[in-house]
Amino acid sequence: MVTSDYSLKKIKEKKTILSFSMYPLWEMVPLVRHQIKRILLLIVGDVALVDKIAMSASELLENSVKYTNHDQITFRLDYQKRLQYIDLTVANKSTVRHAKQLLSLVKAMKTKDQESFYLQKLMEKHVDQTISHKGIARINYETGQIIKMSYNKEKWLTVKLRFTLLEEKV
Amino acid sequence: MKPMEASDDRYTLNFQNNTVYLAGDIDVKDPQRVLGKFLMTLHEQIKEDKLSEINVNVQKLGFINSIGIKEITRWVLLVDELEMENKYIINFILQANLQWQQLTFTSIKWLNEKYIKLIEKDD
Repeated sequence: MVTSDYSLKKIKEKKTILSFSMYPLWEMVPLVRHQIKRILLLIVGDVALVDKIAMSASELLENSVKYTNHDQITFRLDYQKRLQYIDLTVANKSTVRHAKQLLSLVKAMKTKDQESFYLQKLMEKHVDQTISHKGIARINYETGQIIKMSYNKEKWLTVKLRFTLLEEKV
Repeated sequence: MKPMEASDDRYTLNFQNNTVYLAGDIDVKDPQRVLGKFLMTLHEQIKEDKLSEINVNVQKLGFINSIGIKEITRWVLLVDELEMENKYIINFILQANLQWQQLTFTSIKWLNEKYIKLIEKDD
């Protein structure tokens, strides 16, 4: 593959703010959310955007804790200063069945209005709450960001969100 | 109505003078255990006392996860299912500078627009 100098430079400019693996324990999610918020506020001036990223991270980590069939979840926040965006990536191992459910949900979200899709999810009466995926619909509606999802041969389900910055601190 | 209070690891619920005060972070795994139970009891008492309006002050609410939102949604939809003469208005009092509260509670309002009001306060 031929990569231009420009794109190589762009890749180098992308810095990882935070990257870790965690054991899927529910009680760790609030601690992580608080830390993410504190760390992002050092870089991003827009408090509302920081709240959106922290909410998204929290919902995705809660999902990972609930659905993973492995003992590790990976989390990453990358910052692209020149192009002014932050990427949030959360990955966990998942069953094929669950991955298919989520991938079809994300596909369905793309074809519908974010607001009505979320309202429809809020009104659903699930006996089994673990399959409602309201968190994903909430992220889609409240952040307005496109959710990218992939599933690989090693059964890692990866969710990625990109947040554009309007204001930065550093 | 009698005052009511409840708390979980990370949040508190307090009802007094026709206002429910919700404070802390609702980020527990099972908010139905405390929040859901509290709201269902409150709903029954409101029906019994035939109240026409209630306030829910969330100014000190720092976060709510989607499972917590579901519990509030369940309550709001129950109000919608009541006979017309028993329906009551829920005034959510939001902290003016917290944009996330606007976003989250606006979507709840859409579920029952006629009976949910959002009031912003800055104190």
